[in-house]
Parts: sequence; C-alpha cells; structure tokens
Amino acid sequence: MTSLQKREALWGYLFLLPAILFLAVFVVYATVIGLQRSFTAWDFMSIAKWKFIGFDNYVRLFTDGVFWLTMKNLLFILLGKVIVQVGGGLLLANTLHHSLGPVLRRILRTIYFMPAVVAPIAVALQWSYIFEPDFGLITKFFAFLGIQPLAVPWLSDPNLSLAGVILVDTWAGLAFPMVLFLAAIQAIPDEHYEAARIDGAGAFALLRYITIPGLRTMITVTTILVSINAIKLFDVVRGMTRGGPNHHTETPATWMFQTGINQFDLGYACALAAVIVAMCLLLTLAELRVFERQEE
Amino acid sequence: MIELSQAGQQAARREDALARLKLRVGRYVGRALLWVILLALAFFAILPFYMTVAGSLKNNWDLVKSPLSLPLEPVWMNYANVLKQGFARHLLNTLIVNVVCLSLITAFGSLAAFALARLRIPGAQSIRIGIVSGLMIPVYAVLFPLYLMLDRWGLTQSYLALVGPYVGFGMPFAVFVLHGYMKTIPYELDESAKMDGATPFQIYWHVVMPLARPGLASMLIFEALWIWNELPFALILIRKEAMKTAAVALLQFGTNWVMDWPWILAAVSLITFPILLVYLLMSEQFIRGLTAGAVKQ
Repeated sequence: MTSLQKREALWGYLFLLPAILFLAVFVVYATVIGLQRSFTAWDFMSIAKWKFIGFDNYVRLFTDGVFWLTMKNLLFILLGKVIVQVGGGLLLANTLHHSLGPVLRRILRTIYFMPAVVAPIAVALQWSYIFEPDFGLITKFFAFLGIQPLAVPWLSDPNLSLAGVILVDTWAGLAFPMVLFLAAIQAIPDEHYEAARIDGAGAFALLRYITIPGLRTMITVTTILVSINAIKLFDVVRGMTRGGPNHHTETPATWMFQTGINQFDLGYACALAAVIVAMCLLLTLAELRVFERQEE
Repeated sequence: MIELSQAGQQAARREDALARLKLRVGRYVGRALLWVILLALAFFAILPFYMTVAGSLKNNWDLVKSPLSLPLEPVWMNYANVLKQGFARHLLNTLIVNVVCLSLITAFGSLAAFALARLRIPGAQSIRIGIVSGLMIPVYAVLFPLYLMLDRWGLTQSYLALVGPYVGFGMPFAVFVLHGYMKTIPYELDESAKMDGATPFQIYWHVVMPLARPGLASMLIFEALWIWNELPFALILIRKEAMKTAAVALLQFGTNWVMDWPWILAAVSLITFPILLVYLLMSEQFIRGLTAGAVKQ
C-alpha cells in the first residue's frame, strides 16, 4: 500500500468508528450479556446480583405450560397472518395492477397503506374502542345481525380474543405485502400477460400461470418477513388484552415482559428472549438462502 | 335445405348474441363486485381513523350513544385536557428523542456507509456484512441487559436512556440503505475531487452527501417512524413518569383510564394524525422508505 492508500483507509476506519461503537455496545455486547444471563438466576429486585444455574431456565421454559400456549397462539397468528396478508396481498396487488389505471391504483394503495404507518399501540387502542363490550361497534354489529355468539365482549372471551388480536394485527399489516407485490408485478413484462390473454387466459389463469411464478422469490421473502413480524408481535397484544384472558392471547414477547417485569424473573425472561431470537435468526437465514439462490 | 340452413344460421347467430350478452353482463357483474370489494377494503382502512377523530370530539354520553355519528358540536376540551394531563410532555419527549437519535443515526450512519461504499478499505466487505447482520437481532435480545447497563449509568430516569439503543438498533438499516444508494453515485466525481486535492471528508460532505438525498430520505422516514412508534424499549428503559414517551403513555391510558374514551381517543389522535398527515403528503417516499429493507438492493 502506498501512503496515500494508507491514509484513505485510516480515514475510512475513523468514519466507521462511531457506528461500530454504538453497534458493539448496544447490540452485540448487550445480546451476549442477555444470552449469558439466560443461564443464571437473576432477579429484577436485586438486579446487580446473579447466579449461574446452567440450563435450569431452559428446562423450566420447555416444561412451562404457558410457554407452549404462547407457541400455540403463535402458530395461529402465523397462519392467520400468512394466509390473509400474503394471500390477500397477492390477490390485491394483482387486481390493482390489472384492473385499475395508475391514478386509481395509487389512491387505493395510499389508503390501504394508511394503517401501516400508525403506531401499533395507537392501533390497539382504536380497536379496543371498536371491540368495547358495552357500546363497541363489533358487539352492536353482530347483535344487529342477530348472530348472538359473536355479539359478546371479544377481547375477554377465551375463544374469540385471539381471533380479535389477529384481526387487528392483520388489518394493520395487510398492505405491506401488497405494496411489495405491486412493485414486483411491475417488473413482469407486459408482453407475458398480453400473450396469455391472446391465448384466452382469464384473470385466474393470469394469476396462476404468470403472476405467481413471476413473483416466486418475492412471495417466499414476504412470507418470511410476515412470519418474523408475527414472532415479534407485542404492542398490539399488550395494548388490547395484555395477553389475557388467562393467557389466551399471550405471545412469546408479551410473556417475556410478564415474567421479566411483573414477576421479576429476569433470568427466565432472558431464556425466553433467546428462543425468540433463535426463531428470528432461523427465518432470516432462510431468507438469505432464498436471495442467494435467486442470484445463482 | 337452404331455408333450413338459414334458420340454423339465425339460431346460431341468436345463440352467439346471447353468449356475448352473457359475457358482457358477466363482465359488468364481475366489475361491480370488484369495486364493491375494493371500496369495502378502503372503507375498513379508514373507518377506525374516522371513529377515532369523531370519538375524540364527543362527550362521554354522545360517544356511548352513537359512536359513528359526526361530532356536530366538537368538544375541543378533550384535547386541551389530555394535553394538560401530561400528554404534551410525553409528545415532546418523543419528539426530542426522535430528533436526537435521527441526528446521530444520520451522521454516523452516512459516514460509515460512505467509508464502505466510496473509500478503499481492507476488509470493507466483511465489515459491511457484520454491521448489516445487526438487522437480524430483535430488540427483545437486549431489553433486560440494556436496562441493567443504563441503570448503572444512572440514565433510566431520563429519556436519554433511549438514545443509545435507538441509535444502535437503527444503525444497520441506515448503513444498509445508504450504502446501497451511495454505490449508485458515479465514482468519477470522487476521482476528480481527489485530483483537486479534496480530503475524504470533503468528498463526503461536498460530493456524495448532496447526491445521496433520496437515500437519506428513505432512511430518515423509516427510522423516524420506528422511533415515533416504538414501544418495548421505551416501556422498559424509562422509569420516571414525566420522562416517558407518548407510546408508553398511550399504553398506560389504555389500562388506567378505562372509562374515559374521549380522552384516550384524543391522545390516539395526537400521536396518529401528525404522522398520517405527513404520510398523505408524501406517500410515495413513505412507502419507498418502509419497504426499503424488505427487498435486497
């Protein structure tokens, strides 16, 4: 290296220093500590002290009924979100692209995306109001239709509360996959659609044989992203039900808060956090594999 | 024979016309159905926002009686009361945290991205992968360890506790987006500036940054929205009531003032509508910013 190149590299490292410092302290170091503390007995009330106890927290976690309940809830949340957000997003994107002009398409896209920019906690409260047991719209609506089993307080009902939470979270996130698909559809050459139309393909055939194969990578990636969001789900649940009634809407993240902050069991909460991180990491690695394969 | 075939032709023509009519009716019905669905979806996207504003301008009695009606005699006092109850302070806290964090993320993120995209550094590729890998880590990994750390530093009594975590967790995305964008700026510009004896910092400041504005806009929208809406960190890391952010205050309203819906809805409106207004003014940039992380650049 010449001295000029050396000086350029030195400048470069200097420029990188602050960013790396913040990452090293608040992301990397803290993650390592969190992982280490998942193997300890660590109490919120005497936060400076901790004792190494091996795998005890994990053993407790995997024999904890509530943990498995959160996994079951997560499965329903995942299924609901993937089917509605990815499936619905695909149909919507396909419809907006083929059946509407550019102006109307943009207007509808802007409207559909509105819930996605709002604070999830604000969404939670808006919908708590709509689900309000006495005068809320949902109860009134189903009472008006005469469907009594649904004209009940959803959020305190063991059978309906999870459905309510999924409905709200899906409402807030519906447009995100749609927007991604809409951008990707525009990359599919119009001639492909034209040729298929001349061969007499209907709207469904266009979707089935041109749009879906053309968006294969995008569909996989979006499914993974939606799944990661489902695993991280916290704000909406905390704001609407706090995981209740009786853990029927508990998610891994709300249970982590509950055990850490309300039951002071930080070691246990850290073990739960490690499980959440592991699930997110697995999905992200799957996503990277998809990108790699696409490049080949 | 001839007559027969004529009759056949006529019948065939009639059938043909009928089929065409059916097709046309079918298309109209399909079209109408499509519009019903699209408009219903738009209606459901807007309805909760309408109900929020309408409810925030009613008194308790009207709200319970008719949550859907227009607030014909708007009760502006709801807003005044909720702001006086401390929500003004919480909004201000959110705003201050946002401004401080965005400044730091922009400064440090763009410097790092510039170094990785425009300077020749040994190991740049690995450093970039290392930084961007931070995107994989959810905030839950660090909540309690960070509380411990910030508590030791005596920061949990102030919203300053949020600066480190937000900047740290915002950094991977900032570097990812800005690096991607800076790569698209022609390198000849750097070379000619170098010929004129410009230092790397001068190239960063006078050449690359002015051209990187669209990338900066995407990044800033994403980070600003994340910080404005963020709940888990804010909920755990700030122990002093007056220092809490608006999102945390909202959560507490939801659990404490169970009966006072007009106030809650006024608070929801205050945190929601500034963002929504900016979004409606520049939805194109918003959508680009929010989806920038989802697609590989």
